[in-house]
Amino acid sequence: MLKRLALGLLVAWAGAGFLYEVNGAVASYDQRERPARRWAWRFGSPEPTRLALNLRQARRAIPLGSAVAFASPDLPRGAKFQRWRWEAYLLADYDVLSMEDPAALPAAKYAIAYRTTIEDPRFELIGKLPDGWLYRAKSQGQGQGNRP
Amino acid sequence: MSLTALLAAAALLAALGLLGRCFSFALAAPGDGVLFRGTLYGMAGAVVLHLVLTVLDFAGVPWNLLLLAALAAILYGLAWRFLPRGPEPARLPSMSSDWGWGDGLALFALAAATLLALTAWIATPDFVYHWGIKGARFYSTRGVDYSYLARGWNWVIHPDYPNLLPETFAVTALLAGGFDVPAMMLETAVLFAFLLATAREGLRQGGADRFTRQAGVALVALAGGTFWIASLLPGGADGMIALALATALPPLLRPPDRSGDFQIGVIAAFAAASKMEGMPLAVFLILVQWGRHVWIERRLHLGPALRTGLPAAVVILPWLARTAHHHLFLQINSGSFTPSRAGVIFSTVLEIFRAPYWHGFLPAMFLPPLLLASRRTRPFALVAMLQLLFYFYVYFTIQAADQTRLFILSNFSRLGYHLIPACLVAVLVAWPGTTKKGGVEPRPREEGTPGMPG
Repeated sequence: MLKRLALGLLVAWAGAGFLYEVNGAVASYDQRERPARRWAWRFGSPEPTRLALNLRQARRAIPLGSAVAFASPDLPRGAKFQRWRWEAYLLADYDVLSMEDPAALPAAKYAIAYRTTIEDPRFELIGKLPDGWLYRAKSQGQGQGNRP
Repeated sequence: MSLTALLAAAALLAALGLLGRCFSFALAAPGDGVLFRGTLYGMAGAVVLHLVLTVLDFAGVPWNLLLLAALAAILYGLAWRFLPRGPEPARLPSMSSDWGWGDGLALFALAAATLLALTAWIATPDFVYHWGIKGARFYSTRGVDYSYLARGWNWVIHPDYPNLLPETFAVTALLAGGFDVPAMMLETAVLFAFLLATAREGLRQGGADRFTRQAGVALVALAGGTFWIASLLPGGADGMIALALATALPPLLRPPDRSGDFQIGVIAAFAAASKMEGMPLAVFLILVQWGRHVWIERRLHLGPALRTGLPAAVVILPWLARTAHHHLFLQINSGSFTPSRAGVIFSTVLEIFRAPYWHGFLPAMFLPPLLLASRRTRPFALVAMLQLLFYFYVYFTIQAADQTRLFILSNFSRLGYHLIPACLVAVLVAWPGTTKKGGVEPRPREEGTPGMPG
């Protein structure tokens, strides 16, 4: 009898926890349009959605499989890394590297600036995106001389 | 969400089940329930798919839907023609006679979790960081893109991880004609369903009485489902490790036998192909099963050794070769053992016990030492305890010492998911007084029984 009672209480406790979490998940899904915290970006939350809109236009100008550098401001703190990883996911058929990675940067043929601009002489502006700018790497030698 | 993609995911899982069923002569023990068999067949099919894709990668052949379909048809045809069949359906235990309130609660939890997963709202962040991006990339390049994984800046996507899950995503996308996130979520929800099926089977084969069986399956579904939703697990491979350990419970509960060896072999291969944490789990499963043979027979015969170890070996060796060849191992994954971290490790673990996601169930991952007390659950307890010790060993070795706390905070409760569902089942089996009279008896050894001819 004691065993049944203990097991029944455990199941009831687990059931309450389950309902609590389902309720939390549904409530947060209903409010998915609200700005999310840095580590709470999910499919459907505003930041990734805006990134995806931005990249839709960039895709048309960048040949498939190209190496693309990505830059964005670190606001709020840590968001730059998040955006870079989401960008890499959304452009999985490209090679997306961070503008902050000096070792990788020479590989980039294009660059996307999201809510910022790129002031690197190795890249030239080729277009505007809904939330940023699209750049192309200058041919070798063209930008190297101007390097700061 | 695309209906075509969801159907493609369902079709792929069905195809994997059919492919795995070819090995019913080896995998199906006469006492196994239908749902458990389906789970084992699905896991075996996934391992076959992984091996086929690995061979194609080695041969430099791009993945192609027609080619994969043709290979699957050929393999199925050859197996149908030349392999013996498993025990006849008439010998299977009835599926419908034993359903109760616990199964109803489990189905409710499964349905709610699946619906939430299909929105992708509770997708794991790791789907973006590595599982999903790899799946989409492999779909795009029609193969495991090792040069992409080896790029210096891609250290963040865990390039050294085994690739079964991204491969499954990529093949689903091939079948659907595009990479659709809800379809991938559906596949990981099916892993949760398999976990519940194996928990149910573990309780049944463990001989638990009806109330304990119903309460147990409800407990695993609700406690596991709580964490699955709260900690955002859909889309990741943690469910595969949890599934592997839970599926290993029935064969570890009975004395080592031929079908048990095959089952442990396939489970170990599945774990090894799933995630880095699956590699040690595969090794521990194999070693414990070998140890049981040695304990009983005083030596390890070649047959059981191969049945248990070979499937995992053919998964692990190509992975090792490819990972070493492309220099994919990350230096941050290894380091010297630093005992001075003990303080921070144990204080952080105690801190995590208060984390809300588990609603108090996290300490259940420390049940394995207690399970050693029961003779029946001892082999399982040994595997689970070794796995738990391995996780602590990793905390003592990897990452910079000053990041140990952050590292533990980021993953310890998730590692709990690997162990807790199986541990809950095992503790209910071992709990004195839960075993019904006339419960499932240990079957006699079947060494040399070839199964029904085909």
